[in-house]
Amino acid sequence: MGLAAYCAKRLLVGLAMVVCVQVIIFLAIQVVPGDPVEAMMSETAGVGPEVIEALRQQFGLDKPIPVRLLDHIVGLFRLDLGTSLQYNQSAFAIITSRLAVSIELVVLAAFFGIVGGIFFGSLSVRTRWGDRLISVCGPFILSVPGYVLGSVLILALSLTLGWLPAGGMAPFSDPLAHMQRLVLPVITLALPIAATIAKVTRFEILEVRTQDWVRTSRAYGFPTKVTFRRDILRNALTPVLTISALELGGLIGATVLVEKVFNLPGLGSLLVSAVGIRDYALIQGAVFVISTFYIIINIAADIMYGFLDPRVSKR
Amino acid sequence: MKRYILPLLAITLIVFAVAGPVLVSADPIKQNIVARFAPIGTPGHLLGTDNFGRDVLARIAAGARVELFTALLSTLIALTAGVVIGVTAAYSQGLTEGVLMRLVDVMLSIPPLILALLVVASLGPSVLTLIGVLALLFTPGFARVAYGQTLSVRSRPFIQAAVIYGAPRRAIVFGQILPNIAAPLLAQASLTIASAILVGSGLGYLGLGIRPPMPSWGGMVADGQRYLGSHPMLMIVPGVFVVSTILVFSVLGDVLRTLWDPRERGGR
Amino acid sequence: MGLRRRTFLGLATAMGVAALTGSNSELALARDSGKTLTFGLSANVGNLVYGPSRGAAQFIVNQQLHRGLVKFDENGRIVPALAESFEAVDPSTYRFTLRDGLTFHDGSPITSATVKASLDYLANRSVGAAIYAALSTLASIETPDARTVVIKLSKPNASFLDYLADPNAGISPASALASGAANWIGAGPFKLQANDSGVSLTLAKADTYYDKDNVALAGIKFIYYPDSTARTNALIAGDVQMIDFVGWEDFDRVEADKKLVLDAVPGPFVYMLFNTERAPFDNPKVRQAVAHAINRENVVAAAFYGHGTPLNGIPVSPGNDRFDPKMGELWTYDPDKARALLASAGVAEGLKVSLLTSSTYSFFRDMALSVQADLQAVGIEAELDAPDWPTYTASKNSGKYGLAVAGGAPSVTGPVYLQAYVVGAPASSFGSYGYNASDIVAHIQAGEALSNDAAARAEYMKAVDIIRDAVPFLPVAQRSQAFARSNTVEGFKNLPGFLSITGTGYMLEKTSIR
Repeated sequence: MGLAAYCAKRLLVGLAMVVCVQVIIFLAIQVVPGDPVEAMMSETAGVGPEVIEALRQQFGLDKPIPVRLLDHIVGLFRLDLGTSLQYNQSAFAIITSRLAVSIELVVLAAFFGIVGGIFFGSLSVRTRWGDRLISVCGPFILSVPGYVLGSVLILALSLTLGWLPAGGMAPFSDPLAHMQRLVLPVITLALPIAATIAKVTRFEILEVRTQDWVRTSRAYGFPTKVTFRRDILRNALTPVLTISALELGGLIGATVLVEKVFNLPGLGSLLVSAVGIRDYALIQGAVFVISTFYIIINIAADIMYGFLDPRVSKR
Repeated sequence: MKRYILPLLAITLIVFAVAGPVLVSADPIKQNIVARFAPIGTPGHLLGTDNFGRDVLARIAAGARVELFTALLSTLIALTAGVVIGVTAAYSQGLTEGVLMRLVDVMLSIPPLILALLVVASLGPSVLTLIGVLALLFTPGFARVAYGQTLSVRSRPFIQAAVIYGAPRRAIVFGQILPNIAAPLLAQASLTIASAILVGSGLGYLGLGIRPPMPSWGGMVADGQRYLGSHPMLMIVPGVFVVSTILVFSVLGDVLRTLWDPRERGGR
Repeated sequence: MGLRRRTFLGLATAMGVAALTGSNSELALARDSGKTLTFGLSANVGNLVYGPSRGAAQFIVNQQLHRGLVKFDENGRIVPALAESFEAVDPSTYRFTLRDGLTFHDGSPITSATVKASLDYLANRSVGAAIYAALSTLASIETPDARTVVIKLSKPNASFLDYLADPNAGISPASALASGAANWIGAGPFKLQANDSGVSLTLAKADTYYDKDNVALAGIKFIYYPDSTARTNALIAGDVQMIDFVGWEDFDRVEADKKLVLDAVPGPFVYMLFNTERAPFDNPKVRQAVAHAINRENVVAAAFYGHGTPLNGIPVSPGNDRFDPKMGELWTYDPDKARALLASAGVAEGLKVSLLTSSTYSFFRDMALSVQADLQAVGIEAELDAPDWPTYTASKNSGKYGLAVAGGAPSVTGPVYLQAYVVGAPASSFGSYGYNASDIVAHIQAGEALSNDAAARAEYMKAVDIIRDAVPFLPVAQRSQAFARSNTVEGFKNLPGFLSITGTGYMLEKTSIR
């Protein structure tokens, strides 16, 4: 089986997985108690069952489950995620607008986290204080819940010192305000990423260092700095970047706590509020986007492996 | 001596969880609204009281039990389920392997948040729900580790030899494979306990934690966050316990992994 | 407030004319270079539909975009809005005269036919309109000419004008009168400029508004802050100039800041529901026992951080002549009496019941915890069931509970509001499951039909007497409802009582920024 066939097979399996996730979530939502129309009308006085029933019919919620499931899957292939009950708009449009916020947040956090992680990771191998820093701060950062870190940052930098806004989102058209509002959430998200990446970097460098070519390079009398940069760091970074990519895939939609603390309109908080009112189209749509991201990044990583290691595609 | 510190701390925490309610006499759910928001060091309330006037120390002690019980039990369930899935997949190969591991992939591609939201929405917040959610979230991770490890152990000469000599499958799995994959799984388990406490706390912040009035550290941090501006100690005190527990278990996991993986042992 | 309703009707015409002549135009000129108010709103309002109520945040937005025939003024009185005058021809017939030259934001005219179409739509049962209770007795709407609307009811309704001032009773164009249709174009002081889904809503002053000369702001930008702590943080950090629904634990933080103003009033109430179809709460004595077992002071302290008022009877609107002060004194906190009642009802010590609340709102959960402790003190073990909002709603509507915590924000200030709370579920989703309130409703209806306040009061009191003994629902506390704003924001006032939710939004058109 050639590489092309391997890719095709992985993509096909990926597609099947996306559909599988959708079916699981669709059925799970049906099992969960609570009705979107009932929840929507919960603030209106004197609403009886007949009003609820009329509205359910109008939104097509009275159709049998298999019919609605089929409608949904067919719609999926036309990129039609249905209409959100809460917003009365296409779920696709709402999700795309939220996705932009999530991607920006995750990409910035991942960038600073990875760069910082690699920097401190390699520092920890080369200097004693770097080692101390990583072994003390690393686990500590990873142990603090994100919303606690975020709340403390707001209390200190925003409310007490007044340096930065406390949260919210500003449009791209106002770049300064936009960037200001991203500083604290990006720090909150980037710190644990940096701690993880620093740990991995340190591990990989220590492993590469024991390889033959490094010893050879040293034996030839190249300066330590050159050896480190050219022979150790470069070789150690390949697995680090692979791990980073996989982390990134899982991060989209997983930033909900930070979104809540900083009032950011991302995909995670959209998903939470959608479940909070049983907005079926939004739930399905958000899960579709998040799981597709995850699956695509995993397939890409797999294909990369297949490309680098021909043995994988033989199996 | 230094190498015993972490396991000792972990054991201390577990002992505190088991014996805590005996050591602290106050009732963790007894309300006394008049005495609410008592500061740290108030006579009778060493760590102060919360918004219901409940003794924070008593809640920490009772919460330790809930917290560690939830984390340990969910990790144990996830470990067992993950090992069954991973070892079966790696050992059987063929269709079973494909189906099982794709199922694990599907589980991993469902956002953890929606899993938690849907399960809690249908069952309501409670200790059992939380254990179920956490076990569900961590099973795929264990399955992957068990799968990878079994694959590599399987190809080793002594297992191949056992297969050739016609040793029963059960004997090979229990006698050869499981003992050889135990170390990395144990390390993963220790890290998972830490994650379970972290994730449990986050779920508490979203109102998806355990059924009140039962205390949990994560829930106390989440509740305390509301009073961060006026009574910061309500978040800081349980926060210290959460962070230090996670710290102990995650560092313990790292240490275990180093012990098992000789590559890391050489150190600097 | 003595001027309310009928006594006030005669004056309305004169007032409407005074408003038209623009006696304030000099003042308006001085403020002409208006500014845009940045408002941190407590919920997402990404979608407006015509008719149903979707909560307090939606009311505030509705009141900027839409306008009905009448509205509430800063004293909580009903004043002309799209109608320049109104009168009660007889107790069940109202005549409204529309202002001249009214148009919607898109320029299309508003005539008596537009008004009739809107009200007819809201009177349709399946729309689920917030003011359906008032329109259920609609007999006919006549439009003798383009500016006159005559509404005839099948029986007198003393609160009819209150309903017409409701935030969900604005007049909307024909395009909004369909289920699921968007309802962004209205006749209110501000028009929609941008709807950034999930982030913000930008409104600009509407030139089509009949009273545009008195609108000081150039626009309002609503930014959504669903998390209460984040909302207060945004105000303190200066990201927004005003917020609604200040979290109770944040009152002190806002008050400590000299640049901020906290405007808190006793607002909506919290109450308990009973499943009256199942033992033990099918027995009125057990319900009475609960009424005496709950320490309301503790609920206020625990759930509202002390910012609220305990209720020992039904919530009474300030200054409304149709309430008798005695209606607020029905039950007292008396655990001994509660225990005696339980004993006489034959309920054994250690009775186990389920207590339904919702994890979505922390005050719901905290109130349930406080009640749980009180019940334990009289020998009832209440186990908490705290699911999210939709599951809570479903359980409440289908009777899957013993006791339940609930919140109420009536849209009318008169005693008629009680009807939605005494009528049992499933007929009314606000009431106790399975309760039959026909006797109470009969007295309330009789009171509504009377135009004499004293006579009506006596009739309502009969209804309240039944409530005292039967306890169809149990009010526990009135919570403090607060807006907070920068001290540069002027001319705003939080209306007290139920109007804090339904009337305060009308104050934004008179708000200005220094």
